[in-house]
Formats: sequence, C-alpha cells, structure tokens
Amino acid sequence: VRRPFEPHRAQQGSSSTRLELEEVYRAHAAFVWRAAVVLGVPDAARDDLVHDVFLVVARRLDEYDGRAAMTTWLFGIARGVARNLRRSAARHQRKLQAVPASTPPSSSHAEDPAELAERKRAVALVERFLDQLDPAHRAVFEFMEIEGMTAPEVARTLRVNANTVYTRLRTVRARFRRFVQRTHKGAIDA
Amino acid sequence: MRDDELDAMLAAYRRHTSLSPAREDRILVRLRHSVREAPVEASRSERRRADVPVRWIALGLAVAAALAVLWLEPALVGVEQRHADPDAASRVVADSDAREHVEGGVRKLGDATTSQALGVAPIEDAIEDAGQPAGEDAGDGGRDTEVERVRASERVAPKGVTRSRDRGAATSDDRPDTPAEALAAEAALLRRANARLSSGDAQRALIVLQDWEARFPHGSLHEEHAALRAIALCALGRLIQGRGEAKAFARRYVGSAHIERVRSACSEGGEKKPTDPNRPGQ
Repeated sequence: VRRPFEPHRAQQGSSSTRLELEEVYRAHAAFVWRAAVVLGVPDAARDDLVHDVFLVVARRLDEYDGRAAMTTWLFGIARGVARNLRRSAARHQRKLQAVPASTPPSSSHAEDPAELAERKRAVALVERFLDQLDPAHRAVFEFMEIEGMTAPEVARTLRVNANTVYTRLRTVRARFRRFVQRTHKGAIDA
Repeated sequence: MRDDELDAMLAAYRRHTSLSPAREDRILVRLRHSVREAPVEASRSERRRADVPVRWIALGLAVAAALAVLWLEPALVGVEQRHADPDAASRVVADSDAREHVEGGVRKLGDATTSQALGVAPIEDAIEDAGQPAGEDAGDGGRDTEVERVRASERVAPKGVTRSRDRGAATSDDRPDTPAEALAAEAALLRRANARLSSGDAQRALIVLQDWEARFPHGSLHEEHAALRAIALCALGRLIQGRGEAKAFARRYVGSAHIERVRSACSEGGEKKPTDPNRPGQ
C-alpha cells in the first residue's frame, strides 16, 4: 500500500512525484472539466467528476506509458467516471424525489443586468444547440470551438481520423449558423 | 448572421462553462485531502509485476510436485504391495505380462476396420482380447466363468492398494489392484453386455452396462461402453434416447470403428421392437 503522491518507483523525493501529479492536474484540469461538459455531466456534478478522475490518475499514473496522448487517457477515465456518476446520480435523484425543491441561490456578483441577460441568452442558445447534437459531433465542436484544441489533438483524444474531425466540425459549424439564424428570425417574427 | 456574433456567443458559453481558477484550486485541495486520507493500494500493474515471479515459482513447484508424484507412484504402490503380500514379486511379473497382453487387445479395438465393425464380432473380439489374461485361453462357452474368475481375482486382491482413476466409485472391496486387472474387469463386463445383446437380451445388457458405469466411471473402454449402450437402447426400442446417445457417440468418437454398427442399430431401418417381453417399448 502506498500513497499515490508518495514515490513508488525509485527512491525519489516525495515532492517530485507530488509535483508530477499536480502538474498533470494543472495542465489538464480544464480539459477534464470540458470533457465533463461534453459528456453531459451537470454543472453541480462537474467538481466531483474532475476530483474523481484525478483520484484515478493518482492511482494509475505509473501505468501511463505515454504511448497515447494524455488527453486520450484522461478522456477515457472521465468517460468511466461520468458513467458511474450518472448511475449514482440516478439513485440519488430517486431518493430526492420526495423532497421539495429549494430555491436556487441568487448570484452575488454585481454585474450589469443587460450584459448578464445577454450572456445568459447566448449561453442558453448555445446549450440548446449542443443538446441537439449527437455526442460525437458535440465532442468535436466543444473541444475545438470552445476548448480551442487542434484537430489532431481532438482526433487523438477521440481516437478518430483527423479528417473525420474536420468534417464533423464543418457540419456542426454550418448547423450552428443555421440554428442561430432560425432562432433570431423566430424572435423577430414573434 | 456575422461570424463575430457567433464567436461572441461561443465566447459567452466558454466563459460560462469553463473551469474557473478558484474552482480548480478548490478541487485540487479536495483531491489532496482525499489522497492523504485514503491511501490507495498499489496499482494493478504494480501488483501484476510483483505477482509474476511468485506465480511462475508456484507453477514450477506445482509441476515439479506432480511429476514427482507420477514418478514415485508406481514404486510406492509396488513397495506397499510387496509389504502386504509375500507373493507380490511373482504377481508383479504376471501383472506386467497381463498388462502387455491387455493393452495389445485394447489397441485392437481402435484398429478394427469399418467393415469388421458392421457386425457384432469386432467389438466382441476386441473386448475379449482386451480382457484375456496372459496364459489363459477362454472358449466361447467360458465367458461367464471367466468373468467370475476376474471378479474372484479382484476379491482376493490385497487391500489398501488403490487406483486413483476409479477411486470415486469403486469400494475398497471391488477395487482392482492394477491397471491391467482393472482393464480385464472392464472388458469382462463389456463382453458380458455384448453377449447379452447378441442373444437378444438388451435389457440385461443395459444392466451390465450400468454396472460398468458404476464401477468404472473413468474406465478405459468408455468408447466401447458408449457404443454398446446406444445399441442396447435402440434394441430395446428406446429410440429417442438411443439415437441421442448414438449421435453423441458419433460426435465424440469421430472415426470410431463402432460408428457403423451403432448407426445401423439406431437407424430407421434398424429400428427393433423391444426384446424384453416384460418391458414395453418407449
């Protein structure tokens, strides 16, 4: 039995292994967070997902041999953790069904109401659009357009061909444009 | 719709759904705490690496022990036998002769040609060859007498000498001493079953075959037993069961010399009425 932050290969200083994991965390926490979004994990459970994913990483970091991209490895772990979270959330939800819903906490940030409303509208619009996409297209769109990853990186992460990534991105971009136009037109007509 | 409008929307979404630095730090603190509080076991790959030499050593030891047992078993049995019986030495010589003779007979079973197998004779001859002890010449009429002799020799055999193959079913009283004697006993029973079948008494043949099953669940003449059983069942008119066993026999003993005989006994044309007047066909 060992602690994952402790040295386990050679007689390394404990700080070097600790840094190793923390480096991985610092470099890829945002990616894992985005993966949680892509995998449809609700906002309230994303902290848990990131925490659990890196807990797995802490245990299995020595298994990572660098043959696959780190993001590929992390995405695989995130997928498994998300599945587990969904299962436990479903159980939790069943337990909570009898409990009356509480009012959501109000935002404490002082923000311009007009800007806030505009931002909320844009976010709601994008979320609505992303919800229509199948997981494969959504992952490409989120990783490239939102996370700013390159096509080869996304291809490695999702284990698909780079050309497939480009094709999916073009398709989703066109659909997004049409979706926004339709929504605007509907709003104007209304 | 301009591209910059779309980009603005995506940027708003990005800000809204991104991991904030504060949240990132909070998760890291929680992660450190979890790791500190709950030490984890060594990873699977580490365990696997550690287990590999242990597994190989254990496997090596097991193989060595098995080989040692195989190597020592005949010697131990011989010593035990000689201690139990002063005439053991002479019997050991006779056993080895008998074993050679019996094994030659068993080989004949496999060598029987298909044309020979069409009749009753090949199984009978082969079983007779397998069961014939060296130096004895049993005539056609002396089969039952010979079976009795085999059984009598089993009864007088020294106790405490066991044979692992038949340990599950045989009692200490009717357990044969040596593989050669066991084979002779098996062959005697099957020969008797075959004789019953030839005389048209399939019911009794089946009883003898059941006796064989009880005494030799891992017997050497399993192929012959299965063939006779299928034939006996079909001869009794228990066609569904008989054909099922015939099929199983054909599947299990592909290329067996007895297949044709089994097939002809259980085919549509070979359908027979029950031979036992006391037992109606099923």
